[in-house]
Amino acid sequence: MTPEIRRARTAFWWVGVIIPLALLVLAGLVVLAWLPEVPDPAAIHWGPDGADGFGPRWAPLAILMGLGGGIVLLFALIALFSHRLPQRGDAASIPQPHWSTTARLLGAVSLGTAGMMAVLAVATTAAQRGLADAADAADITPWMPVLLVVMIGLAVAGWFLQPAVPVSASSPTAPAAPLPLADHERAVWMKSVTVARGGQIVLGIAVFIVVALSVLLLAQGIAGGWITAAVALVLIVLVASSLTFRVRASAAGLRVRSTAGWPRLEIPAAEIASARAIQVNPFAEFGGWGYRIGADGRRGFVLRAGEALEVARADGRVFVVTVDDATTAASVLAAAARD
Amino acid sequence: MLIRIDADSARPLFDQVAASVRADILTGRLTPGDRLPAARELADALEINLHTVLRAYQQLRDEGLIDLRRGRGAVVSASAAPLAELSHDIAALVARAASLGLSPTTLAALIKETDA
Repeated sequence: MTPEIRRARTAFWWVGVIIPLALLVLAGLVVLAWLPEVPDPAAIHWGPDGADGFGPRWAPLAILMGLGGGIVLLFALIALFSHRLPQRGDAASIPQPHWSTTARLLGAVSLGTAGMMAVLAVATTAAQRGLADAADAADITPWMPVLLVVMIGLAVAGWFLQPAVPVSASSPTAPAAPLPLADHERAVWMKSVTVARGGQIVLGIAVFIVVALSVLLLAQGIAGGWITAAVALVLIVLVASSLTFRVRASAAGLRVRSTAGWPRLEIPAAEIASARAIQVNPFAEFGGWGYRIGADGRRGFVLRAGEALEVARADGRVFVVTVDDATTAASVLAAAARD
Repeated sequence: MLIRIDADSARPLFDQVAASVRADILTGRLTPGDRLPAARELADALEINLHTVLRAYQQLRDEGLIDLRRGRGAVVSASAAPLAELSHDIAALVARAASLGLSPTTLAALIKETDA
């Protein structure tokens, strides 16, 4: 671990763990002190006409500490320990970075969320202090802009309180040398790439939840179920269309295309400045899987960890697609770009 | 997979496509179970006639290197495995020769002089 990364992780502990938890505990103490003055049951949900959801007196405290604390701890776990996740196949040989831009973002969001929940808990408790019936609680709508400002303000502050550490998961490799071709020789390279098993499981579970939810809502005759069903349908189409991609490098340039025909992307040979094979860490560099835009501006189809083809365009934009045998693809594109 | 064709070569184009696929299996770029691109897609990328690619695929099928199935396309067959294993043997041999101070070129010359 380099000193910069150690500094960034220390900053994360403060910004993303200690301060958010301190805010939650402080707000919790205030709510606890006011608890005897709060009606039982207490208001825990507000609608357009004031308080419309009620629960036990301690419910707001439980939501604050359970949900708020849970979010903070979950984000901390992801940010600080994701590099220890076991990797399989080619990716197993790549050292996992101990820090990433994604972790910095999680720290900032953690601070913003905890601050917002702390203010919300104090505001809602204050609104019903000394009341006999929680239904008389004042409208909390005026607090909404305040909550938004607190959340965004703290998240932005949290972002800048952490140092910007450039992360290079792998040592930069040189652009590929053009594939040696005779005068009238043509070369075409093709390969397909499929979303990693882990990603397939996550996508499958997500689709199942949305489908189950819409079935449940429709079975109960709730009109909102149709919206969920529509979302489920869109989700199924999106997932199905971006599971497998065919990558093609030829004299015409690069073409990446889903087996469903869309999404697709083409870079003509004339627009290619250079191409090279790299190693990609999806979480640290792109914050996840799918069509991603990295923190450094690179974008592309990141379907798994490991070998990837990186193409720099003449206008400076950089495209990445994770695919095996990327070295050969890069040399074909280098030859195409030269001609 | 990497397919190379040379329009100036005296060798027929379908033969060049088939040789490229064979080389891909030999170098491990294609392994048994891998699916070859649809003939139409490959013809489009190489800017050659669809029937040229189909003929190459048929030749590879006759050699037992790929299976052609309606609806499933062309798949590298299990019987191509020995060819892929040969690439491991070659890599091992090159490494062994290097440890003895022999360059791949010298090794290739020795292989040429060896009778099967």
